[in-house]
Amino acid sequence: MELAWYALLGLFFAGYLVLAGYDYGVGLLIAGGADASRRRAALNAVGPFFLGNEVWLVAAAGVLFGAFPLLEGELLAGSYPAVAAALVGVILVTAGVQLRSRPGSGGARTAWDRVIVVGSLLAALGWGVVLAGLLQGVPLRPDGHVAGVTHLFTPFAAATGLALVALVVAHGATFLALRLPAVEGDRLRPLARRLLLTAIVAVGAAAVVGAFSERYAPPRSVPRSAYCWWCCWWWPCSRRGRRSDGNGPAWPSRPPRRRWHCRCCWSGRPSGRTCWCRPSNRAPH
Amino acid sequence: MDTLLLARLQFAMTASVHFLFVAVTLGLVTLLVGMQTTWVLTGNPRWERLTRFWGQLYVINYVLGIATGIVMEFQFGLNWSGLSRYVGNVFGAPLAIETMAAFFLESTFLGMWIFGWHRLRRGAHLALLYGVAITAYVSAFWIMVANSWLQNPVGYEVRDGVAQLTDFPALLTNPALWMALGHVVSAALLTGGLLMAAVSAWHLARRTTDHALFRTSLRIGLVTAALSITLVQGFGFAQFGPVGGIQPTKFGGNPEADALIADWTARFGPGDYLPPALSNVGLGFMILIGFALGLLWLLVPLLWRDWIIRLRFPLWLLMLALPLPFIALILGWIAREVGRHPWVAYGLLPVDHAVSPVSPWLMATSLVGFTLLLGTLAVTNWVLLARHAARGAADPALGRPPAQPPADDSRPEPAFA
Repeated sequence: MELAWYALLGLFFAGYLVLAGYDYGVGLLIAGGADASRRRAALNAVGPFFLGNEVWLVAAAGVLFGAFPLLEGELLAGSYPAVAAALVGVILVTAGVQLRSRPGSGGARTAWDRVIVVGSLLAALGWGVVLAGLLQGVPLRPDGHVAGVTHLFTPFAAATGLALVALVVAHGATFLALRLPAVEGDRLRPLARRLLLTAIVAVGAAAVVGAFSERYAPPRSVPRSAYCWWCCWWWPCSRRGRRSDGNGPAWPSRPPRRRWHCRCCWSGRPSGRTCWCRPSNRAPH
Repeated sequence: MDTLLLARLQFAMTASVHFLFVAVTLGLVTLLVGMQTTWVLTGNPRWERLTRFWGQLYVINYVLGIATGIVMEFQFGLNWSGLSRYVGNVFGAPLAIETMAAFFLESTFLGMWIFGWHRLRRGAHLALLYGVAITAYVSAFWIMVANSWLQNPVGYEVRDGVAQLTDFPALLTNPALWMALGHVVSAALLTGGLLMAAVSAWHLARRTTDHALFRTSLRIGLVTAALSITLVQGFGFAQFGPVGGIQPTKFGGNPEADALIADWTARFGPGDYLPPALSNVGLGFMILIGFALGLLWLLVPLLWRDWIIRLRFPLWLLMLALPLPFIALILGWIAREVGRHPWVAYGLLPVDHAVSPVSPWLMATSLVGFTLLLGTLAVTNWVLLARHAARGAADPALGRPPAQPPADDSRPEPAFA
């Protein structure tokens, strides 16, 4: 039963990012100096799916509150500025996409288009920074609550935010290349390819920045989803040892002879170190 | 600056703006169902035009309902992490059901309804609107279940310092629930009906084209509003008994309240356990508005031989009455929500334990930011609604046949984007 709730949470959040991701990507692409009819065509391509895409966020938040109330409180309040920025972005895009043509004079449409661009940017940046906060772990106060919000203002968080922006733009361009009529779509294909490369580079850059930055002690009680992210995405990119032994950075690390295998996160760690996730789960590999 | 006060102000602002829009949504969708059903059954194009015109206003209004709803939902975690930590296991259940089983479907159905025009068969298209309406009511139901639990916590047990749900049916038989649900739903119908009557009255008073069309919607709106104001009054007064029983402090001092306050003082320490007097002043005004709107019944006989249109002044009365239900909606919520101060969950969790431990500056920035954003969007949305309403039913974008190109653009124009 517990697993089902984790699966639902993952499903709805992933669904939101995948589906609304191209909404925001298209929203950002209309900033690229396209003329009015192209902007219109791009937004029309998203139109029929827009409402259906956005509700995944609402459902994800519902699961978060219904099944993970503790996580919700700490996660949202602990990443307050990022979540608030993302929400502002979501609201701006919602209003902009649906109201831009009501009664549409040219000037009003252009103004709404700017609102959509700003909103898409804020939404992508905001969720990117929330993800970064989860990946680098959160500092805890002695009473177990997340301490402040300054942990979000790190180079890694900025890099992850930008990486998510690059990802949604690439996603949006791919969507448009598939969805628009053939002539328009073909015109976008090279752009989509370039954006995809940019996105890969941006994600790589974020991973490198993350590998060379300090991280906070992983919390024991709160975001288990952070562990999952860490395992699948973060850990393979950051196998750098800590400076705990006093001998300077262990990067590049030599291949360890004996490894400990962690049952919790399935990661092998050099011998003599404790796994970041739960020391009690260690077992010889 | 005080984080608690700022968080409460932000909640009050978001909840109020949200409610102004969702009440219209709930009221209009009910009337739309009636109109589209009549259209499908009779095949009369006048009903199609009515559905398109009012559907267009409904869709514009819906945008802000969603936008503010998202802020509402995230606000529980952002500003009230103590609430989700302590009572989230109970209070979160109805909210999760609402988002997944109701709102998720409602929005998806609405998107399909908007874009399914001329693409789906008439029956399937109508079924989508029924889906939107039913899920809207289911949504209202679960939100009221959640709210009633905060008014009167039932069916839980505190284990390890956290409230756990032990008796789900108790949430549904909560004495704070059913009368309030009836009150809120009929208030939404009143708002939707009066909006329809007032917009039609404007067109009839200005003698714009489409006399027959607006005459029909005036009659529908006025009769709906008159019937629902009676329901609003009935459910409203029926609430005094149960609410006074479960929340003795709500309506000021009495022996029961004094005993309860003595108990709380012993358990939670000394403090001011009476709600501010303001909430009851608002309640008084709301009741006055309720009685004033009861006079709508005096206009109903004027529908005979269209005297309401011929005399013209009743039309102006209807337009002047339009703000009243909105004011009453806000005052009613203030009475219900501020009236249980200083409790988030009555007798269980005080507000100062529920607020998130964030800095006052952050909270103030968020309050100012969201107030400006939602306030601007609300005003913009109302301006757009008014413009669309004034434009008349000549050719609404919603449900425009695909072959008919708009004047200034060679591309087909969908309903939005």
